[in-house]
Amino acid sequence: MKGIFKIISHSSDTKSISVKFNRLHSQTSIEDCKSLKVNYSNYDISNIETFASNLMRKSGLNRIQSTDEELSIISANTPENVSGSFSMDDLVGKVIQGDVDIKFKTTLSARKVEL
Amino acid sequence: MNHNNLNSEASYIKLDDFALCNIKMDSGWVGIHSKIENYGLYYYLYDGSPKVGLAFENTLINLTKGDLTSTKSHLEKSVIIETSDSCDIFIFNTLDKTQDWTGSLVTKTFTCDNENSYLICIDGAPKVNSTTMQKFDYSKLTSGKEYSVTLNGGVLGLFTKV
Repeated sequence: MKGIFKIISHSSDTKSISVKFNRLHSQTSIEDCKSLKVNYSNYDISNIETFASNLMRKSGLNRIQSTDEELSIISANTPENVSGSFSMDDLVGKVIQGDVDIKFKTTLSARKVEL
Repeated sequence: MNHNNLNSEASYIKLDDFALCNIKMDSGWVGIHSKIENYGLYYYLYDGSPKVGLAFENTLINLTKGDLTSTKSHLEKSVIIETSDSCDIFIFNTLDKTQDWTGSLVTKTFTCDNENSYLICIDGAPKVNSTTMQKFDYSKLTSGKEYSVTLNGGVLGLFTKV
């Protein structure tokens, strides 16, 4: 997923910006997104690329994700609850939820057993 | 672990006295396991031929497919992983860097001689006593008890808190 941001205002005294984030391919204008105050004092501002990378990773990703999750889910996209043993044939035709965000760690499924 | 934008999939869980991690990386992935989060004592390579090294040193950690490799001497270093093919690694982690563990692969029936030993199913579906274990099943063992092992092509790791 690619994101965009637009800085609305800047305070050099407090090293903070008011900034709006959106998904690049969103069908909603970034102008309609809520702005967020971000302190950039610990960002790498050696060039625009490093600043943009810091901003998107530290603030943009979460904001875009939370905004997306505030939207309602249309009925055709509502996922079914499925879990347990795998059967491809049982999955055919069902809408199933899966993570597409770049979270490095998920929980490993480990089971304690008595031997 | 830091990562670039190539795909990697990692899962992690803290258990009784240790933590388990499984990392699957696509070809071309580069990651840094920083010193502050490096609690990995043993690496097991399921698949691939990752290049594993220590940051700012010439030391390479040789991982061999199917072997358990101790990395405990590198806990105070940042570990760099670079892949040139799809790789799959299991890592046994301590929760406390001052707490040492021993680790080995189990191939036959044994009698546990320690109160702080855990048997972990690293791969496959080995049978231990009457229980068929699944991947990442684990059990705290009882000292003095015999554990009848039938690997069935699976992999079992025995880890003991020293």
